[in-house]
Amino acid sequence: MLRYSVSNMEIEIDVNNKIYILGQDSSEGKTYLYQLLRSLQQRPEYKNDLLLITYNSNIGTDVIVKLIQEFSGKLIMMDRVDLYWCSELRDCLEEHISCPILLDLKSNDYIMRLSATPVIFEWSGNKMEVKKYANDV
Amino acid sequence: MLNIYTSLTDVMKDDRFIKDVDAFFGSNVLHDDAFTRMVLIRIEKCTEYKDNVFIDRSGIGMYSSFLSTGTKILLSISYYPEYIFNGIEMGYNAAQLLSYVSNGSIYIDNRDFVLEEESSTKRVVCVDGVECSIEEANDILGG
Repeated sequence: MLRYSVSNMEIEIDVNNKIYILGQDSSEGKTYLYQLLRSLQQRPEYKNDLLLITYNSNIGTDVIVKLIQEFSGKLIMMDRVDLYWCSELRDCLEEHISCPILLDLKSNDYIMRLSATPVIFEWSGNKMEVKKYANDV
Repeated sequence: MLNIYTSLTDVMKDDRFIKDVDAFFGSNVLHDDAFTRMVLIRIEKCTEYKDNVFIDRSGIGMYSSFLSTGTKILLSISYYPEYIFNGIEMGYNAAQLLSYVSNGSIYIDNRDFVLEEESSTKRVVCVDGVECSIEEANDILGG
């Protein structure tokens, strides 16, 4: 279980070392979670724990793949994955499951080509939780 | 009329295609119209907005650049009907509101959403160049 506290928010991430797809509705708070983790990453003690990637038209998928391959921290979160999607990224993610990987990926076509599990994403008040389903062992 | 395109290969060749809607939208001014109000209430649970600031569900004032991508896509289609917007990042709850766009264009792939139909009006949309009712569009799109 990963527990973080940032900007008056408590974040709990209780998942396995697998690829997870976050909820598929808009405005659930996925990008907000991403931004909270990004501000957490500014602290020296978390600098190497988190790999946070969001779509940027100036950065190619080859750079993203290299970042993932070289990462040895505790959590990967990718926001706006649909815009980065390609077979190289899929292969890279599936080969690098040494920590939980949270993806904001909406396209069913892409999800079907990936061995990924949906995850429960909840937030209420100042607590945000990312939880696996009971049958997810 | 709303134009829906389902072939990424075709829209990628079109100069009017906007791939990164988030970057395109920036901190766009939010229009004072019924569509904007409906989208902000339904998706963002927002009850107040002015210019490029909205009050989010927690009661905090935020710039429009902090709206969800689904909301930005819906508003961009409505505000800039001359472009074709990439709808691949839309959540289900945003995609079902596409039927309320009176004029604009979007690329979206097949997924499990159902376009909402207003009970008072029978809207017509255009899917890959073919005019159809919302019901027919849902059949084509697989919803």
